[in-house]
Amino acid sequence: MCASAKYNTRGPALIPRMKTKHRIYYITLFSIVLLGLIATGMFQFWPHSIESSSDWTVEKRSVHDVPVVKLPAESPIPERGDLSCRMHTCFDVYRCGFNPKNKIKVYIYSLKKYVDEYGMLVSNTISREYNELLTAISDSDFYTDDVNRACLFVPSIDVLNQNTLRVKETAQALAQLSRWDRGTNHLLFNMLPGGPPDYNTALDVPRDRALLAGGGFSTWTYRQGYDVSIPVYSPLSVEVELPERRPGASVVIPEEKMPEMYSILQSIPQRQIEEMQRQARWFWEAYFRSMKAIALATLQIINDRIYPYAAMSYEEWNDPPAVKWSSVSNPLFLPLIPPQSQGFTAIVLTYDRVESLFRVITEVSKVPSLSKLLVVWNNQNKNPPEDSLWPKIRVPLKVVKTTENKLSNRFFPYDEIETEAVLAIDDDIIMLTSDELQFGYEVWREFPDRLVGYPGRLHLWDHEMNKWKYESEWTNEVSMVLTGAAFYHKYFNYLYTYKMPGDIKNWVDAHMNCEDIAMNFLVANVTGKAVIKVTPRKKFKCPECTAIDGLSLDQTHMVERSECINKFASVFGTMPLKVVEHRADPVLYKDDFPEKLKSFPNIGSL
Amino acid sequence: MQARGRYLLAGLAACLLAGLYLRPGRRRAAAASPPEPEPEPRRGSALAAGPAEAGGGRRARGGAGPAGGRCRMETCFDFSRCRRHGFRVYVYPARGRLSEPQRRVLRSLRGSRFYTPEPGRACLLVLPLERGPRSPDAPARPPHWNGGRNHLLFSLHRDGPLGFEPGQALLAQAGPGAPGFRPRFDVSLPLFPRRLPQRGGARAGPFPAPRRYLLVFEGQRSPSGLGAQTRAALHNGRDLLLLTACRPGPGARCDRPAAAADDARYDSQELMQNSSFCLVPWGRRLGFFRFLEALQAACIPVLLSNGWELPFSEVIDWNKAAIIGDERLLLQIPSITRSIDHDRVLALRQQTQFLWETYFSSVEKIVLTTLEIIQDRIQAHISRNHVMWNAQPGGLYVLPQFSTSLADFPFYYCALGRSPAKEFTAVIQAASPLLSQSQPIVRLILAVAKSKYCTQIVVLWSCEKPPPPRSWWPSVPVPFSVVEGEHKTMSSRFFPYDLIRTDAVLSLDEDTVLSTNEVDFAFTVWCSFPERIVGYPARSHYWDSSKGWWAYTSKWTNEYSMVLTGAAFYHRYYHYLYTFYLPGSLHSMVDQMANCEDILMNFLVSAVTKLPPIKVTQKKQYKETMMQQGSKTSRWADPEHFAQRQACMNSFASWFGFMPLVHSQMRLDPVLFKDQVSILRKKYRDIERL
Repeated sequence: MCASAKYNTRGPALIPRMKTKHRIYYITLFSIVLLGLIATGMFQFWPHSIESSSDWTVEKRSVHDVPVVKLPAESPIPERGDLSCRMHTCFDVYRCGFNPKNKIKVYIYSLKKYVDEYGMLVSNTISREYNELLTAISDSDFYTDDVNRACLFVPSIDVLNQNTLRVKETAQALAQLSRWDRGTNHLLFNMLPGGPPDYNTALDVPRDRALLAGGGFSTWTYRQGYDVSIPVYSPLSVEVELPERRPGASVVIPEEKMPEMYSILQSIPQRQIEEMQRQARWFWEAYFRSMKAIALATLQIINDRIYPYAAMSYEEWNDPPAVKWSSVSNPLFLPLIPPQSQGFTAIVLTYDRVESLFRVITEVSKVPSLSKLLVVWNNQNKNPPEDSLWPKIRVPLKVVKTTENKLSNRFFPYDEIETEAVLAIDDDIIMLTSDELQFGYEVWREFPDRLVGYPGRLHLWDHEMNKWKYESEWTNEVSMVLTGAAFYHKYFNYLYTYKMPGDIKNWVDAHMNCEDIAMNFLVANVTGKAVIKVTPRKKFKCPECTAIDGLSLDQTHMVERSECINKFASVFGTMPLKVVEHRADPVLYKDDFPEKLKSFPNIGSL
Repeated sequence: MQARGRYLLAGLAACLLAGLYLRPGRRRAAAASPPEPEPEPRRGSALAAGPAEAGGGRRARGGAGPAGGRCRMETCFDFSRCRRHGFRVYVYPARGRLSEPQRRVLRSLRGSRFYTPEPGRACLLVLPLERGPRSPDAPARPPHWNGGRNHLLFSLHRDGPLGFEPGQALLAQAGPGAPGFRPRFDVSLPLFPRRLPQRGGARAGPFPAPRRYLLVFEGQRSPSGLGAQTRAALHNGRDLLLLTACRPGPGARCDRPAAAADDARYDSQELMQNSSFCLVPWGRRLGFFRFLEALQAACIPVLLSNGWELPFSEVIDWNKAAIIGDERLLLQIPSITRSIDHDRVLALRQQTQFLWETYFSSVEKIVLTTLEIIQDRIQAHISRNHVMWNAQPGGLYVLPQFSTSLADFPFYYCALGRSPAKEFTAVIQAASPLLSQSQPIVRLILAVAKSKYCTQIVVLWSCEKPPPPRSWWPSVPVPFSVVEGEHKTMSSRFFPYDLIRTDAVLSLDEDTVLSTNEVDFAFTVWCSFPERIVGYPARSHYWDSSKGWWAYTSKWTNEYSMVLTGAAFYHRYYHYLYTFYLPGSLHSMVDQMANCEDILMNFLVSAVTKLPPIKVTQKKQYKETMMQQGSKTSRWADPEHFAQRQACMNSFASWFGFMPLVHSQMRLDPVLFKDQVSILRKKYRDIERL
């Protein structure tokens, strides 16, 4: 076809070439006709798998002993399909009601054999495919045997293949169903619509308001948001209105662009072809492979329309399990830098080291952006000091008394926390300067979805022991920060308290250790991001030991922490921690520049 | 000749077989007539052996195609017009009086990168709708009308009803689901308020925190009917506030004037700011405005929207940002909103902010979104997918012509569960001839090639002299190539050359001095922030209130907002975005001054990510050499050069409509940088050595 245009440009050579061109056209035309005939012939004799046969035995719905219903010739016929139907006009939502599970109830009419006045069968008996479909529904959570509680009705009249049924009589059979009511809330499944001579793209059986789950809709017969487009369960797959939700698994090319199809297909990069193949295979496996999959997907689609606020998300529908597993959807996904003015709330967990606690309070209160200080009093045997004894500071100071001495109290989302930013700080961290803390808060504002902390730690794979190992040495890498001094978003308190996977929370409280590692795991797991360590390493007063410094205790401590990592990795089913080689310093840190002009001059000094 | 004939034959046969076997249903579809006869449309054109033009011509001769009401893109739109010149949009000159929104829409259309002043080259023709009564038969017959084919009409609320049959013209319309809405043909618009800015638009607020009220509604009700009942049933005065001012209508009196007085305590904006959910009733114009207001206030809209086509619903997944209820089940709304857990509320509220900022916060965004939706339909095989439209940074910044695969963009690594490949291409801009082997560029090539992540070095030769032979260049263990740009302009340094295949690009000036250690460290940092620019020397901006403009500074400051692209890592997609997203006017400005290309790149990336670039630590000598060496760097001291950069900043900011640059106060250093431990323990020890 492009050839003709090319020849025209050749000028003088045009006339002698015309003959060849004509010849080619004739040969082409002839071949097309011939091939067309062959193709049509093959198509006609191709075995259709939906062809129903009456001789197989249906296990659940035996066709031999079902009641026979005689349809008088003048019995009513439903209106033709109402093309203006939408869920809010033709569907009776009151039948579905509000229920905590947000699940529709589906009733299946009992099987009957329909005959006309002369005793002739209206349709072939139920096909194997339709039987599988009904079985799948009756085995599912959607099924109810109580017709009064049902929200959706599925007739046991098989209209999968229009060629196997008598249109008018089938319609009469539908109309006499006990709850038909113009087809409201009735669902019909059809895969091969139309018949000669029109080959309509939707089922020809008059169905009034009944929903149609059909294959091969065109966009004119498809009632958007009402009908459900399903695939045809057959090797001869027909797709016009593509089955619902179909990203990344097919290339849609307008028919007009047929001539360019080759170049379009060729232009798709290999990487994307592989993605599409994976996607297509997953769709097939999940939704199209069997009648069961098709039936359940259809019901889920209708369910999603009736309870849209509880609908499965696009990702749940479309992402293969492998992607769901590895992908991360950050709960704090909005890229923004929270305003400095809000400030942060410092939370100090304490037991009875009052003197040290007061020093921490005094130090932290010097930080300009501190807006509130919260002391979590974890000692049930002793009351916190009297009000008059506490240091006088410029911001509100609140003391929360806990009912049990648990480490997880540090991460409870107290109502008293009114800021987004939280600074968790131990009652013995007195070595951090005001500049360092303020700078940490500024860095948190740039990374509000991360843990931003001071002492960094690392996890390593121990090849000898074949398990994870905890490392606190001077390393070039960081994968955790200690929550003895760390900024993070209040939301993570909520996550820690209510959404911590497995028994980690109880385990931490029982062992009185590793709450910080658990928090690092949790945040890395939901955000897929690494921690930010700020400012150079300082000599912390053994931030993770309890009371006594000593080699043996230190070693037990390390062993215990390593065990935590292994335990958490197995609960999470993966190692979410990310290793990085950078830390954040003020822009002019250690630069040859007058100290008094630096925003944060007092960094790293002891 | 014979061979060609055979190919032709084979091709046709293949087409035919494909048509017959793969889509027999379509053949039926075309022949079918449900429920009224459909004009024999498109099948023929695909299979007819004629050239494409003939197909189009035949259709045009064949008459109008389907009646306007049954239009689909395939039947009422001439795709061949878009094939020749791409997606170009022409706007007819307006003769009559235009409404204010109509005028603002046209302004954005003319300013867009799709605009063409020649109707003959246009794929889409926009006809301004004039105010006042219109003739019922088509709008005064514009010269290329052709039954409305390939025309787009913006029918905005202040224009009044359309008043004529749009025929085959696409209708971008705000309003309740008009029965005539043609799915995937018409475009549903939001109703935008008068104070909506032309470009730019407000930035999103902080992360939404839990709010005081659960659900609010503020509006009017008639004394009888649904409004009054609703209020009575839902309002509890505690966390469910339905504040309706009673409006006496004909034959109806307000029986509870006290309620109205009660409600006066609340301010509607304040209510929305303090509520998690906002009720948006169906159909009324007020509802439409409320909808955008709620979105902006991060108040999750609860839509009772039976039959309402939500704005841009073709591409926007509203289930991620709104609660869509059935107005028949109004009384269930409190239990539904209470049943939505904290996590979901947080996600919904962030999504409202994302959608507002991306698609609705300015007239220009609304117009561009409309155009991009139509373009996606025309090029169905290179269109944006669901994720591109509904996740950061949104459809307007993701050009599917670059790639339709998420993996090729810098924004989706997390969502795909991947991390960037550990390789980069160094792109060195060379402007001066290569005279000696001790030139900085030679040292730079050697240092960069030593990085274990470097897989390719490309020199962009922008010197007037021809590039030297390969033997003059140092020998390196990675592929090395010299590209001579067609136009030796500033902008060509960001041209998306096919040669560059790695995701990461290290952009370098010829006189940049870097050690392998610094390159390696910066690259590992970039891998953690692949959507940002990661580089060494940084610059800052500030608002100079005395002069009333944006000021540029290269002084040492405690914060920065730009990183010079003379030494920076970024994703290769930004080359494409720089070249094809930005308008010709900004490119030519950069080319004429031979300056500011790095500022423009920083503007672009920050506009996309809404985040600052990242500065990594550098050896101290770098700055000194920058000031002394080379022809280009000496310009840093040149006051005119500086004034130009200042002027650039202000032009760029006015094109973007806002200042996209964001400040950062931190620099990333290696973990043990300058720590008191043996240098032998440090991985990046060269960075500390002088």
